[in-house]
Order: sequence, then C-alpha cells, then structure tokens
Amino acid sequence: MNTNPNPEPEADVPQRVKSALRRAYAAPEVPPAVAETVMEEFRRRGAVRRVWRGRRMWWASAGMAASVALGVVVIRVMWPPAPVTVLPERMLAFGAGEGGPAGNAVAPTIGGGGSRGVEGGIEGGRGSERGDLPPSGEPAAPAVASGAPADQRALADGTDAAKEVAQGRSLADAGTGRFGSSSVSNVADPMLKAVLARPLGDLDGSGGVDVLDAMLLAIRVRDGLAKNDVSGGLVEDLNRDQSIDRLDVETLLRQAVRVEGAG
Amino acid sequence: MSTFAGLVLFAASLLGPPKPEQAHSRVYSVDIVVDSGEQALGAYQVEVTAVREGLLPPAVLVVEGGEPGEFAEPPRYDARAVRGGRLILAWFSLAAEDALPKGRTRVARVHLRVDGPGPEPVIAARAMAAGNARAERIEVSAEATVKAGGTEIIGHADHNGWGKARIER
Repeated sequence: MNTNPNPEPEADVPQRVKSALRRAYAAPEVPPAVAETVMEEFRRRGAVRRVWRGRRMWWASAGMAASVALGVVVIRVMWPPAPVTVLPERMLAFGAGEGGPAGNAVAPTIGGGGSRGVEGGIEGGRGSERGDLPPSGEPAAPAVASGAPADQRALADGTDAAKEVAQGRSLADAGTGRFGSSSVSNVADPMLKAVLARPLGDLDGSGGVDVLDAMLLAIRVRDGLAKNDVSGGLVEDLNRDQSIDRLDVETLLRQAVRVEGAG
Repeated sequence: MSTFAGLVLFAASLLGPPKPEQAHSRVYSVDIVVDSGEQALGAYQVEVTAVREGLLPPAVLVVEGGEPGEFAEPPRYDARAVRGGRLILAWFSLAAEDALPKGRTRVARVHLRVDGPGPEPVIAARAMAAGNARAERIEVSAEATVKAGGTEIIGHADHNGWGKARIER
C-alpha cells in the first residue's frame, strides 16, 4: 500500500472513471480513499501504459507491414512494369558525332553490369563493320547473321551483359551521370530514356563530354533551339538554374577540360 | 656600430646563396598548333603534357590565345592542373565557316616554368576532339612546338579561376 498521501488523488484518475464514481457516490468529488484504491488497481493491472507495449505493438507492426506488402503486391499485379527495349533502329535518329549511330544506339542499353555492360552493349550494338567477326580462338556464332538486329546478336554473344541488353532490362546505368537507374527506369518514353541514360552533358551522344558538346549547346543557345530537345531542356540545363544560356556552355567546357586528380 | 654590423650579418645569413632551383629556373613558350587540313576548324580540344623524367613536371605559368583570328582568345583549361604536367585546352568559335581557319593554326601558347637542373622537359600535344562550324567531328592533328628562342621574361601571370588567364608584360 502506498504510504505517501496523494495530495490530489483525483488528478490521476481517468475522466470516465471519475464520472462513473461520481454517479455511483452521488458526490461532486471522488473520495480520496476511493480514488487511491482505484488508481492502485489501475497500476497493478498495468492499464495506464498498456497501449503500445508487448504483443500489442508487435501485432500492430506486423499488421502495418502486411498492409504495405499487400498494397505493393496489388499495385504490381494491377499495373505490371512493362519491359522497354530500345531498338537500335529507333535510336538512329539521335546519331551524331564520332560514336556514330551504332555507338549512340547502345548508349541507353548500358546496364547494371557496370563497365561490363558497356562492353557488352557496344559489342552488341556495333553494326556490320565488326560485330560479325568473332575474336581469334573463339568459335563464331553461325546462327546469327551480321545483319541481324542487335538484340539477337547480343543474345548470341552469351554474356550476361549482352543478355541484359537484349532483354531490355538494362536501360539505365548509375555510373553514367546524374540520372540514376531508378529515375531513368520510371521514364516511359524510350527516346527520352535513351537521352537521360547518357553521361550528363553528352549532347551529341559520343559517349563522353568534350568541346563539341559545349559548341553544340552554344549553337543551340544562339539559335534559340535550347529546350526544344526531347528532354525539354533537362539535359541542357547543366547548372540547374532553370535557364539554358552561356553559363551552361561554360559549365560544359569546364567539364570537358577537367583533369582528373588535379588540385 | 657593432649592433648595426651584427644586423647586417644576420640579414645576409638569412638571404644566403641562391638556391639551385632559383638559379636554374627558366620559362619555355610552347606553341600549340592544330592542323585541320582542308576543313575549317571550329572547335578543338587538345591535351598537352610536359614531363621530366624522375623530376617534378614543369608548372604552367599562363596560357595565351592563339594567332589573331577566331582562336585569339585564351582557351579554357583546368586551373587546378597547372602543376600536374597535364593540361587539357579547349575552345570553339561560332563564326561562319568562311571565317574559320584551315590548315595549320596556332590555337594557344603555353608558358611553362622549369625549376632546377636536370633534363629538358618532353612536351607533347594530342588532339582529343575537333569540330567544324556545325560542331561535327573532324580529324585533326596537334603538335607542341617550343618557340624559337623560347625563354621569355613574363612580368605577371595568374590563373583567374577556370582557365581565364591573364598576362601582363
């Protein structure tokens, strides 16, 4: 029993209990002795802090997790993500620069395999000039002709990266620039996705950033053609100041002349 | 009097004989030439390397523009790399194709400072990219030539941020 007298015993009693006691005793105040007894009973049964403890909390957490999982499953079932394959033929429209249409075409299919993916993509995407010549010491792939589509030739190569390229699952590469794989994979338009998958600032699709990209952007700014590309200027606003101007050209030039490891 | 003489001797001891590095410092002026053949040169990107075997590379004092014309303005370069022995120069012109140079064009002049005795630096240039007036890629060659009578006295030079060089003679 608590030996310390409670100066305000009614203060700890829940309101609904106080109301019930007042009705039962027909008094404006709950007698202190009754209130203390009631509170002692509450403490003994652990009713005060019983809300989110023990099994109740575990069951509530499990219920919330199950609800989230169920929601994810329902969304995936009702709106399944459709694999998008960028065919090299569609990408020929981007062709410019040293890499040429073939190199440009495989840029969006660089995949999660990192550099291995790049090699596989390039090998798979190269045209008839070299794709049909097997390495020395390795058997040729007789079932696939040199004029076959890139995805079929990539499958014939047999490498994991090539298969990823062929299956269209490797559209984005986090190592290619600011656009990460998750953001790129959410883009529906394959043409836009291909642009976003390039290294940041690679406007001509050559696979790297050089002075020609800066010159290209300067020409577009001069002629008022900036923001008219397929990305709506997203890849041209390099300094993210919501305008495409000479400052973006300077940013691109800095990127072109940057010496790794300097300073 | 003896105090004054002592101060003079102390100051002289601080100055001391010239260090070997100071005695052997010299400046090279290197012309960077791009040969675009029959095609008009609208843009260039050249890698310049300067190495000395077993020694620190020469430091880039300043980068000047090229011959009068479309490439007279100093090119852009990474100012943080002036002591690394490797520099990338890049610039372009938006002039009409008729106004762009053809053939051999001096696009920049790089002044290097070599400190200390030792072998002469090996300076080379390599064309990384070049384009015509429409920013289309063209094939060019680049070379680095140490200017005849190469050592110059340069009054003041600094690297103003990213590659905007200023030289005061």
